[in-house]
Amino acid sequence: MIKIENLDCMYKTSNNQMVQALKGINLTINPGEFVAIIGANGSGKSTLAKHMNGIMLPKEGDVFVFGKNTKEEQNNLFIKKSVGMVFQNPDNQFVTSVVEEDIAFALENLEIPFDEMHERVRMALECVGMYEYKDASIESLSGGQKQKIAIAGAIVMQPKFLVFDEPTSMLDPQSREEICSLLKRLNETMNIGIIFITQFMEEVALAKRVIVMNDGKIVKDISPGCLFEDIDFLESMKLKAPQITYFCLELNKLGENINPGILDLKECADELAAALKGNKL
Amino acid sequence: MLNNMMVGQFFAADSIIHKLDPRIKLLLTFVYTLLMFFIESMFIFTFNILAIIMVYKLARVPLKILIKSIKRMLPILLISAGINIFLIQGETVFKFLGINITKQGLCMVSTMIVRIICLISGMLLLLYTTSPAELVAAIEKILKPLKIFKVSPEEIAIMFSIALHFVPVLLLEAERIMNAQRARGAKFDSKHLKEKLKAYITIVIPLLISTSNRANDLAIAMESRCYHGGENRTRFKILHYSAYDLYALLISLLYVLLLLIFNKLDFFKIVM
Repeated sequence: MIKIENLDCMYKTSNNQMVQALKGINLTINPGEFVAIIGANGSGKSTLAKHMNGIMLPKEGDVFVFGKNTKEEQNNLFIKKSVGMVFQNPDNQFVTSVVEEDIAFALENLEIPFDEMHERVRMALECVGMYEYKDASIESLSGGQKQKIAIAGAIVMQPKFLVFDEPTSMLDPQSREEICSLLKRLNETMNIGIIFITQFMEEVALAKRVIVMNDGKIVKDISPGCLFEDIDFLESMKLKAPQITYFCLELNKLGENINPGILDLKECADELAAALKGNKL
Repeated sequence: MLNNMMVGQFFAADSIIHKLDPRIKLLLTFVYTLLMFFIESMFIFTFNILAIIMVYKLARVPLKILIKSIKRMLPILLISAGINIFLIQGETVFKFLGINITKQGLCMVSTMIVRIICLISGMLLLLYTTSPAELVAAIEKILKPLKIFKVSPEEIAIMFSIALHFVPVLLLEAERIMNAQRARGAKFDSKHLKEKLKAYITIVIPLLISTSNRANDLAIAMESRCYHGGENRTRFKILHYSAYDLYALLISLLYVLLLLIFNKLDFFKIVM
């Protein structure tokens, strides 16, 4: 589990002003959980994520990964191996230009023996559905394919958690959908805990738990359904609910009793069909 | 896929050349580079170009890729040729813009162009047929003696691999910045040198900032993938010498001797 206690983070801006990026964060994420972190730009989401796998070390407070403090040097490899991270721009994450060689990078660092390394690279590529591209040049792949390779490069370490820092923000809708279903599959079939930072509210609906951040603080820790019902709160955080929520709310204004916490398009269609059958509309 | 290939990017294929040990390929490329500086005869250069075409065929690397790469370097070649052709004194063949173009100048420039093309073709063959992981492993092995001077061959090798990967990425980035600046009025196609230079300066600063941001992101990504310096890393590619390497060495040795003998004879030797 990832346990964050009283975490504060300050940094200096280019104007020499001190900014507090995180203020007294307390958070526990259990293995196998699918958690979305949302918030306006500058709310501290990425800074929090970087503390989870020891890229940033706390000056105030503590971060524990399976009981091991990220501040202690000897825990460094264990923490990075347990909590993988995938970033926004896949192009900036590759160290070499051939797919399978890049995926093997983490295993080379972890001193994994030759045969096991090849087996794990094969499994990671199969898991993201990219095995046929193993010899391909990374430059020849599309944005979505590159992000899948970046994910394979993280899951090859067999982590217990994966932190995704806006992995879909540079992708087309089709690739976004593919990446989202891959994350869901990783969570459901491999029981990897997913911590998903995103600006797309439709993607938040994938999670079981949403953490809303504002001005370096956690302001809400709630389920997506309950969160989207409170449109005023979302808008006060400079966020928006998914289109489907606004649609349901408009129907409610017309006097129909459609649950605005519906997240799934099919579920919404079913409720509408039921309403139509009952001559509600 | 061929259209997307960048200069010097690894081309995966099942060929004898791909199977050769990268240390042998590095050694042969080094010897070949030296050899190209010894050759003076256009006849031998022509012979060498035919040999290069044969080796590319053997490596199953389409010649299209090589030609595309050479085309990209052509402007640099032509500029240096243009400067040299006016500077060499000798027997005048014709006058151009009032400057004497000499027989010696023409010979020297044509040899220079062919020599550079031969050199580029040889070096690119190494990059097309050797994957970055193999190159890194080979560089590491070759630089091992530097450990005595406390230089880490592993770190040099990883730097080389990253540089190789990022050259095409940064070229694309420069192109993107160029388009953005062109949309904002930069005159890259201007006939006035001053305006043209001014336009190119507008690329430098954004490119430096973007490169520095990329380097920062890459460092974070490497750290989160457990990179902790070069020591004790295991390898995805393990290098082994095979019989093919011995044959390649012997054939190359014969080829070098043949070219040096031809070079001693005065067939088609360039008049200087």
